[in-house]
Amino acid sequence: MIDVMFGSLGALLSNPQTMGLMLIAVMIGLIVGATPGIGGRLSIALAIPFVFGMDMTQGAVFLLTMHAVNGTSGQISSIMFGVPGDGDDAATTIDGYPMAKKGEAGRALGASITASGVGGIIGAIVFAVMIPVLEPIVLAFSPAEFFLLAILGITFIAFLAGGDNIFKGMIVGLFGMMLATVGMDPQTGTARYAGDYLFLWDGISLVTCVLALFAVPEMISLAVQGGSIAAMSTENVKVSYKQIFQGVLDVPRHWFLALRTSIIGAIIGMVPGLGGSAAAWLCYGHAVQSSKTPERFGHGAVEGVIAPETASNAKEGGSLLPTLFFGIPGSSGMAVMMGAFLILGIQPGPAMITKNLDLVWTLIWALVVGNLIAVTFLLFITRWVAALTFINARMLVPFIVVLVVIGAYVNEGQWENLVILVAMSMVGYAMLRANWPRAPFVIGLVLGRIAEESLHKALDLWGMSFFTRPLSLVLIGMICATVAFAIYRSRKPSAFDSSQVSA
Amino acid sequence: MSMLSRQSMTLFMLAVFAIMVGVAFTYPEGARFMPLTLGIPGLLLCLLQIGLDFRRKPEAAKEKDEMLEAQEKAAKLVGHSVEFGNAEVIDAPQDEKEKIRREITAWSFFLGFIAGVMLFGFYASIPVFLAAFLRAQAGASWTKALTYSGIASVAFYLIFAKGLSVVLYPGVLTSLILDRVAG
Repeated sequence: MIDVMFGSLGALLSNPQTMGLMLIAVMIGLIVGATPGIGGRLSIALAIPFVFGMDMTQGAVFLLTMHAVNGTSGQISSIMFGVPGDGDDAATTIDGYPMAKKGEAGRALGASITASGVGGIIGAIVFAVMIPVLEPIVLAFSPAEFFLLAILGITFIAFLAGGDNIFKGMIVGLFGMMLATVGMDPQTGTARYAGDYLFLWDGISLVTCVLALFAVPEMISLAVQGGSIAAMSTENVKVSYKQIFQGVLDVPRHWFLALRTSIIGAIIGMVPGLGGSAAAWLCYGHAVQSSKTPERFGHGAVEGVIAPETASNAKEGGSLLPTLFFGIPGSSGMAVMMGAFLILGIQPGPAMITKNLDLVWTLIWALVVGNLIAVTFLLFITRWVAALTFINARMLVPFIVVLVVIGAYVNEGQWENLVILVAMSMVGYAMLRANWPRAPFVIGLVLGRIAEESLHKALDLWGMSFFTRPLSLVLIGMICATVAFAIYRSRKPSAFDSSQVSA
Repeated sequence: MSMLSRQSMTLFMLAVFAIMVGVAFTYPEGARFMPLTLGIPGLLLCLLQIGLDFRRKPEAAKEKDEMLEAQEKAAKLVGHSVEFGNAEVIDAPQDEKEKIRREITAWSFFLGFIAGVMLFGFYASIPVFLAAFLRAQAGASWTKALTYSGIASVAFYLIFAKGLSVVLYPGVLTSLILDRVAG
């Protein structure tokens, strides 16, 4: 294990091409993170056409690095202008913006950037520590448990959809799983829902569906809404390097809080469906509750910036764990990442531990090195990156649409995918307009394939008695508890306001 | 969002599940097992959701402003009101009518681009789509629109055709024309 661990680091650092790709990924990730309207999962989906033909490891490192550093630059507008880019950044705004108003914007930015980097690195370490712990569990899982794990994944996501959306989340998840059955049935060889259309015999393309469900609706929405924010005055927003350095030092000064919130964030990331927004809010709450002077929060307490930032970046390491070892994406961003991994020839599952441990370690090191590069860059260029907040988002729309359409086509090289893209985009936009959750669809689509394959294998091996295996009973118990709790929560939503889905 | 449009998504899902379950019954036993295992609970959940849509009071269905929600949540945590920045979105639609008009325009551009790709291929459609969108939707001048679209089209060609050796769809009409020209 130690050999593989350090061998992967050596291989990563000594390969100039991979390091060059990481630098490009960091730059793109930071720019995308600071630009309004383009989220993490969208950036991975858009990058998919570019990883075609890339080496498996380099492609995976490129995409993961880009995704991992997205959140590091996302909080700039929340701190400087009080305008959170997304749910993850809203918690940072509570204390970051008052700090900026007090003339401490540089300190808040220094603390948030460093905290993001620290969170990302600790998240990767938590993931690494979990490998030997999880190894016997992953290897003990049979197809029966993988089937039940896929079902548990969907119930988790529906449960976390929160409030009025619990049943909608379940419906959308099942819809995704249902579409996963399109194509040749692995057992009987029957072409299901495919008719005479040969291109459907291999199933519906995951990448096309992801682009259709997320990218196109977001771009249409951006074109409709305008999306560009009126430039705000930066006269009172002081960002000196002295202040930034002061903010950097605030993180080691509050090292125990940073460590705690990073670990909490990484653990939250491991739970499928529970996104960075929940991690950030939960850790902000933890910082308030554990502080001796909670009255400072909301008025510019630096701990209020450190806690959510460490948590939201640490969750990336955590969410990689179920994605790589169980094939269950920890978030919709990871679902897109999983689609990209499959294109690159990486098959998530137990084989990642037994056969591809070197790749797993390379990805862990990519998280660490990527975060270090991102923090170093951003501490110097943060004031210029802030200008991206006011970019006219409509100018970006056509370029992104072109990338989306190319991505949908090159994925399988079939023009029919463009028809699927249009049809699914309409469904995606209708979901966006009707305020239905879209993340469960993608996760359902991924899990549907795993569920069916595992179910058939389990039935062949044990018949219906696979439900009575001890590990299966534990998972069935967890599924029932999740569903029961979801129903209870839907009847008493107010008690659970703080944990909203942002998968 | 009106009651009808709130329910229309549920009705759409109900129709999808109903059709897929109906079709699944025509498959052999082994092939229909999974679609029915997923489809029947899906159907039942859609019916449950329709019931919930009817039961829900219109005022409860009002879409909440994300920013306000975050501020409320923050206020609960810190025990006093919290103020975020007041971001003004430029050129946001003033009413639902204008929003729908813009949606139709945006969809027309998207569908037009897809149709263009199908007929004339990527390399012919990309510059036209980029220039038209930048000029008509993003408010760029003709000079800017043509310059940006030209640079981007060349960049796309260099990256995909030359750099990644990806063969992009040539389009039905372009292929026909090229075949005729080649004799």
